Amino acid sequence: MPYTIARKGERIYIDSNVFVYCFYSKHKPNLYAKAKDFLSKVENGKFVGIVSSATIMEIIKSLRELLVKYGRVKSTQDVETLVQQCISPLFSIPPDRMKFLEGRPPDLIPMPEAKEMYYYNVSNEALRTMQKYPGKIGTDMDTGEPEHKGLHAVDTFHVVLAKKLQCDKLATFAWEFKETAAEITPLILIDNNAFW
Amino acid sequence: MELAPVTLFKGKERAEARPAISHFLLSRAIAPSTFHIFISYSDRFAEIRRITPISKLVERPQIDDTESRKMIWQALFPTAPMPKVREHALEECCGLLDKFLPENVPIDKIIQRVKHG
Repeated sequence: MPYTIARKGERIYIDSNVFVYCFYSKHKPNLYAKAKDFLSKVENGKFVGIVSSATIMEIIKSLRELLVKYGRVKSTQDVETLVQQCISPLFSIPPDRMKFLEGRPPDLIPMPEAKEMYYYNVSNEALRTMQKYPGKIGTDMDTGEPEHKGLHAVDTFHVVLAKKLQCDKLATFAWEFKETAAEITPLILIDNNAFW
Repeated sequence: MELAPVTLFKGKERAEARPAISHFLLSRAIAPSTFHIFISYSDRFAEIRRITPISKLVERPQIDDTESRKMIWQALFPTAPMPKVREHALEECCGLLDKFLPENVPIDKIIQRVKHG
């Protein structure tokens, strides 16, 4: 297995699962510890963390699902209050350490009519990336049935965004990003061969 | 840009060198220096290139997120003021859901469903 080493000063795109694991410690404490440790290093300036609005959307949906399905909350207002409480501190992290970016890199202005279209340029490359990495046939661990294992739509956006934003790595807990290592190096926080 | 010496091992030395290389790389991870590392002796280690060259870190244009940070915040919470920048803010949200969720909620399944349907 190759080593993956994240060095001081690297620009690292952060997948939503890193944040969600950081918000809750009572399921897999080791993953919580890894997520917290990694984000602390971003907060302390070792890495520059990149957070896209696609990542934030995934965080919000995960929190809503968790709180509605399992949470001791009584209304959607309660859910939204907690969502804000989770996300708000992230915006207090100094901007030179964690950056919040909407999808379109500033140097890629599409035709004027589409200037405001979100992910205009990114979506074309995401489509190409999706076709380039066909994945493989695996087995569903619950049912034993065959299933496709490979890139999903939103993850493809993450890959392309991370690449276009010239990130050095993409921090995640998802092994699926191994397939696209040629596009953006995955920093899989539970990988024993990853050092950060 | 400073360059560390290229480290080459041949034949029998390869196997003997592996543990040393592991320690070397680990030490780099723990205490990264300004050196640009390039180690080449085996296909097995071809992907050692996952270390980002220092030149890339230095020459890359910086990202200014002043506008997008505001835009995203306003899209999320239009009536709330933008949080002030401060140290140790992360601590406030670490484990925040612990008191609102029961023990051992399978968040990995939720994440999987959110990401992949």
